[in-house]
Amino acid sequence: MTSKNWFFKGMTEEIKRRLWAAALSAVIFFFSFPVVMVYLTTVAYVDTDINRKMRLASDALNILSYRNGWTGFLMAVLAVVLGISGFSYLNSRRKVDFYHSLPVRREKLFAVQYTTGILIAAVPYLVFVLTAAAIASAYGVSPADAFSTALKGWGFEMLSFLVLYTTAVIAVMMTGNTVVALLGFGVFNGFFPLFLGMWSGLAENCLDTFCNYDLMAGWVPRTSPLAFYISGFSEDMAAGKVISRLAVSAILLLIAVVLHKKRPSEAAGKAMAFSISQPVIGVLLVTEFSVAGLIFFWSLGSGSLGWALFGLLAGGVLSHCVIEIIYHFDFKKLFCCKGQLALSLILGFGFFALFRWDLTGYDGWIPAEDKVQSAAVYCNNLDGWVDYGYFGAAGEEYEGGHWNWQSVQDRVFADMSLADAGLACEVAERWQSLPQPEEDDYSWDYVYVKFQMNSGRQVLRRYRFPQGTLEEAFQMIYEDPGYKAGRYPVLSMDPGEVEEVQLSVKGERQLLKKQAAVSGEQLGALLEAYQEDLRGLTLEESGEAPLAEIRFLDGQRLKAVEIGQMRYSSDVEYYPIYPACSRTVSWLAAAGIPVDRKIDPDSIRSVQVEVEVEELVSSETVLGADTYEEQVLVSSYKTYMETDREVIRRLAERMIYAPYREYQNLSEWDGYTYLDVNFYAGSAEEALSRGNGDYTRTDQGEIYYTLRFYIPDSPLSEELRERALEHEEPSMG
Amino acid sequence: MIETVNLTKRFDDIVAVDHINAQIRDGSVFGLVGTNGAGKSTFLRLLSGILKPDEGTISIDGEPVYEREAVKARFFYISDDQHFLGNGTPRDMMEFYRKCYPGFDCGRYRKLLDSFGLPASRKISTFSKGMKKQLSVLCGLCSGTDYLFCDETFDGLDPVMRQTVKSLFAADMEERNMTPIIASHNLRELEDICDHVGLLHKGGILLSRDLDEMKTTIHKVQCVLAEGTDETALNGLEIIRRESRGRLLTLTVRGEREAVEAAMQAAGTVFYELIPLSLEEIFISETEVAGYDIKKLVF
Repeated sequence: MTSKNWFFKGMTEEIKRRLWAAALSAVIFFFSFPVVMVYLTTVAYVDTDINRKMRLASDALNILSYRNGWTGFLMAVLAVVLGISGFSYLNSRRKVDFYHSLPVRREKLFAVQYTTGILIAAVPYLVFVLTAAAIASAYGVSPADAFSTALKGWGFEMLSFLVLYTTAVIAVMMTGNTVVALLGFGVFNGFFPLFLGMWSGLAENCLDTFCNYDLMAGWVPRTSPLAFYISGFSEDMAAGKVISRLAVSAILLLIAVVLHKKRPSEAAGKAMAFSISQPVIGVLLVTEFSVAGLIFFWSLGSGSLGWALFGLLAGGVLSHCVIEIIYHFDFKKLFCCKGQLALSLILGFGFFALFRWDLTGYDGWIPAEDKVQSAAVYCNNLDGWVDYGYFGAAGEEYEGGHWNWQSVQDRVFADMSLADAGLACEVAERWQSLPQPEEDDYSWDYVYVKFQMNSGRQVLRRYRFPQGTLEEAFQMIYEDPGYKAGRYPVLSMDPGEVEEVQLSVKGERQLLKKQAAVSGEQLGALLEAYQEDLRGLTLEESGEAPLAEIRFLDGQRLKAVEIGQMRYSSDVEYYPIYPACSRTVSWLAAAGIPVDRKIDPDSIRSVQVEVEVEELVSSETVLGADTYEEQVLVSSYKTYMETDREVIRRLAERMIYAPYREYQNLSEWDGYTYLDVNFYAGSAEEALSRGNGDYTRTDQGEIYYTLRFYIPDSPLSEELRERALEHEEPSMG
Repeated sequence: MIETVNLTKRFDDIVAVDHINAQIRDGSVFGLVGTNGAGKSTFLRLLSGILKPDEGTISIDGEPVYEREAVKARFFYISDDQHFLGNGTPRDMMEFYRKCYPGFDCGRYRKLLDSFGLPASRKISTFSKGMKKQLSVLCGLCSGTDYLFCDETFDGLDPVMRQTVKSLFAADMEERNMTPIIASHNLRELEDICDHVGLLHKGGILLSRDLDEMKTTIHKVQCVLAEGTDETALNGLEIIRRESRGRLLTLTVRGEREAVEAAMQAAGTVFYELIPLSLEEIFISETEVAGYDIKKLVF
């Protein structure tokens, strides 16, 4: 019988056996941490001493932290190499005979091999990352920051490593050959993402109301160890991420232990260790590849069913043959198990048919109102300007935390609950009753709906309407208090949290507390006034051009603005001040900050007008024209410089600041005339401040800056078009 | 004592070992013979706990073998193509085995390495096939186990080395009652060492006998009957095989030596002589009785 401390003795022997892997790991980590850190300290930053120190600290902490992409890549490669090489003895009959005849239980052998693989990665990583932290500390990085970042990074990387490493071990357990084990590892990581991708692709192409892309994308990290591994390095290190990695590793380890116990020694050298898994995996893979082939040729054949069937057969038969050759290590067995092939092809076609002919009645589904607990609705052309996101926790990389974007769907569907859930059902009913027009005949409004059913089930749908056909419904939705509460995050902001307000009038920004001496208490009152205005806004009022933009900053947001954080840039989370926002406008006016001031025509130096012109030209002159007509209608842009003071005066009364166009709900995007207006400035500073950081100085010493405006379709825009044609200065076709 | 009851092992649709019932007594040398593919190696791998039986049991002194450390510590398995640690030396193997087998005799191992002329520090991968065989036998002998399972171990050893190894086996059997179980496809190789022989064919045991018992109960007799005497005069003998060349009869008969001699005299033979049977001949006779052509099975 073996001695009780055989585990450690065995581990010593195992490390001796895998000395090459230990040496490789040590060399890689030596160059990845201490060498890189020393190199970093010798890089000649061109900044001042203080900046140099800050940048060194930032770069050094980046190297030590779990966000270091190179370390993530290394650990992924090591996980596969160590996982597969550590247990590769199971694939050799000689070695299996040797190890399994020893008086050592297989659990002990597993524990020794498994632990040794982890140690080979963990120990050199820990030693060299701590060495790098010590080097960084010696060059002025806070030792506490350096060592804590290094240790946290090491811990998280090791947890993530365990997920991939154990997956690789499972791949070895289920196969009897190292190359097949590598393929198995690929299958474990790629099968479900490909399946979900095909599901999503077919749903998107075949189902009119499908829109659940995020749910699909959300499933990928849950079904692929590699995707799960990669997803850990984005965003902050939260307790949930650590716990989920621990839990997943524990589950995978349990599976690996059971498989190791069940794995017969005679599996060595075979393709698959368990004969029962052979047909199951074969059918699943062939089904998947047959559907992949079907989708590929179906797309290539522009939706032809004949091409789809060809793709199904090509993908299915080819993959079946390859899999059977691998299973038997014999080319002559390529058409073995024809029944499985037939089953796979039937399953593959069935999967396609589910979507192609909507066999589940997905598009036709409308919930009964009494079964809907709550509903949320949003439209791309209604408040599409709202930014969604949140600030992560402050960490080593971002002093005040960093801004994380969120998709509209994620946020609105999480936050919104219409007071009248029947409005969402009405949208679905209207879509059902609408004859589906031809694809290219209309501009479209896409309405996204979430039904939260009484049963707890969530149903997401997308309905497409020709623009202008749903205004009555939009009117009711917009006036529903639940809509605004879920669509405008600013409505849930606490006035007490406001530390600063940033106002932007046609691009000229100012911080009210800092630059306009507005007190903190007053800022809260301003927020309340704006919230009140927003709640009372009608759909028609929200279609007007705003007077200005405003954003309310809490502590974290203000910090991000002050340090100039890239992700929370100068145009994130602004809200429009519509002319109907009377409380806000009055409040600002009372504070001496008028936002409804008219543009003085005398402040305009000139206007460059850009109009879209459509004209008939000979088809021979149009490159690539695919027509038998002699003439084709071509649209082009013509520009000219307007200096007529009378025209400029009329333009000043009507023109709208171009960046505000996105705030106009249900606006149409065609037929606008753009104007680049050159304004005089008294000084370079004024020009810089008002001209978005850019200005021009003429030879005569005139200083002016340029802002972009537009004129909606109107007699004035028609007049401009005619004047442009008189000038004939084509700029682009 | 090792005992297998209804031991069966299948590889997919091939039955490698088919309901084998066998008993291997301690202190004797058990020879396992059979053609390639007869199931010898599978049988030994089952005994060693490498393979798990599909049916039946294996026990050593009543204790099951599979995944039982205490039981597995009682034997050492030398495969037909023994694995050694990667880049390992004989010294590394000693260090490894001493951690697995508490009774591993390092002193003896060093001495035997010396006397076999195997360098302790040389990489095993540079050894010849015969040297590797020698090393595997030394590891097995020095592990101090009660049983030594040898799969084609003598294959690749030169005659001198084969004799040396046999002597070492004999010494260990004498000193510590070691029981070697030796699988081979070559009957002649086992003749002078085995006490008991089992013949495997197509996964089943065709025959399992004590060699001494076989040798004392089967005899080869050459005789010449008197003029005019009919062969029916020998009817009292249990004749297994009969060949005649002129008047010279060569018989393989079953029975005690004394009884055979008495029968010969009674039959009025002009001349008779009892010739020692080789193991090969005994097997030829026994398996022919069982309806098999041994030459097709073993040689």
